[in-house]
Parts: sequence; C-alpha cells; structure tokens
Amino acid sequence: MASVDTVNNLGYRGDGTTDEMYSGSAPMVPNLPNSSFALAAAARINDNLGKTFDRFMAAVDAWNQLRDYYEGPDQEAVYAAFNQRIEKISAIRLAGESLYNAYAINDATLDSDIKGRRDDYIGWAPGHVSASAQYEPYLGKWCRNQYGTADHLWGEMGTPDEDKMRVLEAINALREDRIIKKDEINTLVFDICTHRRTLAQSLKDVDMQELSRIRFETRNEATTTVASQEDVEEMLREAGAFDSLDLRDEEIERIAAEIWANREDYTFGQFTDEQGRDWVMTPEGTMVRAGSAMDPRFNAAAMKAIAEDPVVGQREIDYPGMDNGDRITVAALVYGLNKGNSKFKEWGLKQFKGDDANILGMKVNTGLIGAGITILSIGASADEYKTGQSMLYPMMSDGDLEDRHQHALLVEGAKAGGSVVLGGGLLFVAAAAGAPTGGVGGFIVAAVVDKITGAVVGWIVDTVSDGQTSATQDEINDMSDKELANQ
Amino acid sequence: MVSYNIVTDECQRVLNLVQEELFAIRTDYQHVEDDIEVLRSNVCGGTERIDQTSNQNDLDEALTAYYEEVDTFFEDLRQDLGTVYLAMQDVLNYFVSGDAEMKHRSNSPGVEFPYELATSGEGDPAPAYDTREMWEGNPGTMSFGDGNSTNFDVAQYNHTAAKAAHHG
Repeated sequence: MASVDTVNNLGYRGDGTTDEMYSGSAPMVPNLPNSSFALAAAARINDNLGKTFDRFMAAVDAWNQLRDYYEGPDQEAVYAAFNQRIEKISAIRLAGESLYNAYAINDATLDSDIKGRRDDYIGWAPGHVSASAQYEPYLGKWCRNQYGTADHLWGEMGTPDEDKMRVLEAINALREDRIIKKDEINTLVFDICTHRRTLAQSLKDVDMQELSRIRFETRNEATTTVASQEDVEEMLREAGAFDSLDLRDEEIERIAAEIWANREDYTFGQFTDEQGRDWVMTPEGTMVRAGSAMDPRFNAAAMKAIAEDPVVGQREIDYPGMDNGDRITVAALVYGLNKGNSKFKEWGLKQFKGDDANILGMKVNTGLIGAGITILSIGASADEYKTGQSMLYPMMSDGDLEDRHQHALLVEGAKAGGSVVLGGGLLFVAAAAGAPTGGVGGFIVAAVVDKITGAVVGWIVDTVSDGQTSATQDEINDMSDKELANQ
Repeated sequence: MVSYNIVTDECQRVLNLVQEELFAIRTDYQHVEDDIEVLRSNVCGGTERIDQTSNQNDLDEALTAYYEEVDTFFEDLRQDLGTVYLAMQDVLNYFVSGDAEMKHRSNSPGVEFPYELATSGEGDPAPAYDTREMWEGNPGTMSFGDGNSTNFDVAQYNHTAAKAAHHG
C-alpha cells in the first residue's frame, strides 16, 4: 500500500530496469495496487451509506405517522415535507453503490486482465536472468546498441572463433526475448494506468444531482398492483418464496383475506404521480407501485399474515436458491426466533433486536436490505442474489424471480472475467478498460465482442436498475396506465 | 366549529422518533470518511515504476471530489430534514403552550378556535427540544403551505403558525 505521497521511485532507467532491485537483465516487474483491499474498503463505504439511507428512510416512515395524529389546513404540506425529499435520500444509497461498482470493476479487471500477464512475466524473468548471466554485461550493452557490430561484441567478449556464431545466436535470442517482454511489460503498465484512469473517471462521474433523479421500476412485478382479495390470492399462488409452503386453496384464501383486510397499510404511497398512481420506495432505493409485489409494506403484510396463520405459520420456508437444510418456520423467521440459524443470520436477521421483532415485515425487509442489492453491489453469487430478492420481495412470482436470476448469472459470468460464447460469433467478456461506467442508468459489467474481429459491439449493463426497466419521474408522470403496463 | 384535530402527545412521540433517527444517521455515516482514507492509501502499489505514477493524482483527486460531493449532499440533506423537524416541533409547541389559541382569540374575537387538541392518554413524552444545536448555523426556512400559511421561518414560528390557525 502506498499513497501518492509515499511512493518512492527507485533508480529506474528509461527502459524500466533498475540496478537497485534487479541486475537490469529483465524489465522491472510493475507493482499492483491492492485492489482487493481497496474493494473491501469500498464495500464498507457502500454498507455505511446504505445504513445511512436506511436511517433517513426510517425517519421518513416515522414522520408519516403524523398522518394519524395531525390534522390541519397544512397537513398535506406537512406529510410531503419529508416525502418530497426521498429522491435525495435514495441518492445516498446510489452513491455508495456507484463507488463500490467502480472498485468492483477495477478489481475484476486487474484480476482478469492484469494479474495473469504479470504472473506470466514473473515466471519467465528468473530463467531469463539466469540464462543472461553468462553474457553480462555484454548482453545489456548489445541490447543498447553500444557495440555497433558483432565483431566489436566478440572482441569485447574475447570469444574464440569457433564459438562466435553460437554466442551471437544465443545473445540475439536473449535480446529478442527481452525486447518482446519489455514491450509486454510496457503494455501491462499502460493497461494498469488505463484501469486506474477508468476508476478515477467512474468516481468523477458520480453526480449526486443526477442520482437524485429517482428511478421508477417499470417491470411487471413493480407495476402490477392488487385491487381485490382475488388479486392477492393470485399473487400468493405465483409467489416464488412460498413454493416450499405448499399452500392449499383454502389456506391461500384465508391468508389473502387477512392481507386484504390490512390493505390500508400498503395502498397509500410516498409519491403520487400525475396520473394518480401511488408509488413507494423499495429498500433498494427505487420506486415501485404501492400494492405491487415489490412494495415492502405489502410484502410485510403478507409475511405477517402467513406467520400468524396457525397452520401455515408453522411450516418451514425454503427460499429459492438457498441450500437445502437452511429451513425455518415462517413464524420463527418473521418474529426473529431463530436468530442463531447461520444462513439467515448471514442474510441479516441478526439485525433483529429483541422485541423489535414484532414489527416484522418492515424489519424483515430492512434486515435483508443487503441481500437484495444488485449483484454487483453486494458481491453475491447469482444464487445468493436470487435468495436475497426472494426474501426481500416474497410476493414476487417464480417467473419474475427467474428473470432476475438469469440476469444475475450473466453478471456473475462477466465478473468472473471469463469469456462466454453468446452465439453468432459473439463473446461476452469482462468489462474492458474505457468502458463507459457510471451514471444512474446502470453500470457496464461486460463487453460483447465480435469473436472474429475483436471489435466491441456492445456493452452489458446491470439491467436490474438500468434504463430499460425503469423510468424517470417525468416519464412516469406522462405515462398512461396502458403504456406503463406495456413497459 | 372545530375543523382540525391534533393528538399532541402522539405527535410529540412521532417527532421524538424522527429526531432519534436524524441523530443516529451520523453514527453510520461517520465511518465513511475513514474508509475514504483507506481508499486513498490504496491508490497505487507499494512501489510503482515511474511510468505508472502519471495518473495516481487523477485517482486521488477523484476520491476527494467524490467524497466532497457526497459529504456536502449528505450534510445539506440532514440539515434540510432537521429544519423540517424543528419547524414541526415549533408548530406543536405553539399549540401545546396555548399560544395558538390565545393568538386566535385575540385576532378573531367570537370566532371559535378551529383546532381540537387531544391526547392519547398514554403519557406525555418530553419534547426533544434541547437538540436545536444539532442544526445550528443553518436555520433555513420551512414551508408548510396551505395557500395561506406561507414560508415557515424557525425564528418567526409564532407569527406563521398564528396565521395558519387564523386562516384555518
């Protein structure tokens, strides 16, 4: 580790060699920034900005309770006083994700693009230095054209006539190797610098005003709302998180009736668009329709109703993507009675605090925020991401959950730095230097490359939050119900 | 004729909850700066070739710019919400103290005070009023507008709240 101020440039020559650390026979091995250590720090910043966001939202939720106790001519302005600032609040979370994503990409590119090449060089250099030793210092001078002719070189070396051609061939081969490797190392250094420049640019691109333009999710699961008990029943039947509960028709009807009876908890919004539709913020910092499968209050109402059901509440739930054996009854999950279960603890139930557990739904959701963040931000595997999404949005359907999982698999592949054949002569490779990262529209996680020409033909972005599945506030205000449904 | 209702102790309880969260926000946020410094110390490798050093300053400056932008934004937001909270606390105090009703009766003799003040009967939480210094230096203005009550300035809450009560 070193800061800019403490870097000590030892006596490097112009060709990158140094007498102080090497014989000069091979170019200096470039040091790498400790990108994984930096990534850990970026993760902590992301985590703390996420917690800061949670606190702000908790203040908003508390403020909203004034609806029940303050009635005056200015009451709408009072309620809106906090809510109209949720755009800014969400920017705090997005700023953390932006930083983390930039460092995650930097770490992944160093891992996939740089470290292997550097290791190859380190493997080659000792053999070269060893082979060169018998010809030094003449080889070094020959490389720097200090002799001009082979006769001069042989003369300096005192080479017998019978050995001249053998020595010249050996020296020229070593010189050729050295030239090639020096070019490779120079390219490597250039690429390290490029990746660092990309990282710097990603950070410079973070614009809090831009991030304050909150995103409204337009996917089906975020816009389809329940308008009757039957709608709730339908959603319960489709819900991916509840597959393992084997809900019977009469149980679905009973639970849906309870959820619907508590609809006042989730039918109002934190923001009402110009078409009169209510929206609410998810723990991930995006807006979804009130009463949709992604509304945290609706999900809380559903989990509470299931937990309190005398029969279903005692069944064990096994979230999609979770390993077998990590099962827990719904009641224990909801009321935090099984905090010792490592898997659930890992996912955040450790955040339950004593009696607070009975505020279940919101607590479950806030406790699991980390699990639901975009895959890049949490560094989770695709399966973990699927589980997290399912826990965060238990009313989300199997199909919608699977769509997200498939996307996460693509991102996971890209992060691993491997190339995945997409078909049609295209390759899917880790994000290249210079990729247009940053911005609220999503982050570049990979490039699509033409296998034949090597040309970059497109960029893969983290589409969970990109512009294709979300809209701005202005766009939402202009969008009719029909247009929104067709998104 | 009574038109409006305020459950004063519950409003105070809500405001205390809000205040607790606004205070606690600093706890989580304060670690961010420490880790920014960790990032700054990892801008480059332990000893880098001279041709690797050209853009170290770029990254260092980018980190500084990032943190300054986020920090300013965070502090403005916290101050902003703090101002809202204080304004509402002032409004509540104005009613609880009886000043609002007194002002109304003075300004509009014979007109019934349009607010009904009630309590839940579950105790009277103390106002978290000694926390004003939390946002000291940035009093700002807060608008609880109904078309009649306009800019709500913390320093002039009596005047504005009285206007709101009057027009209500």
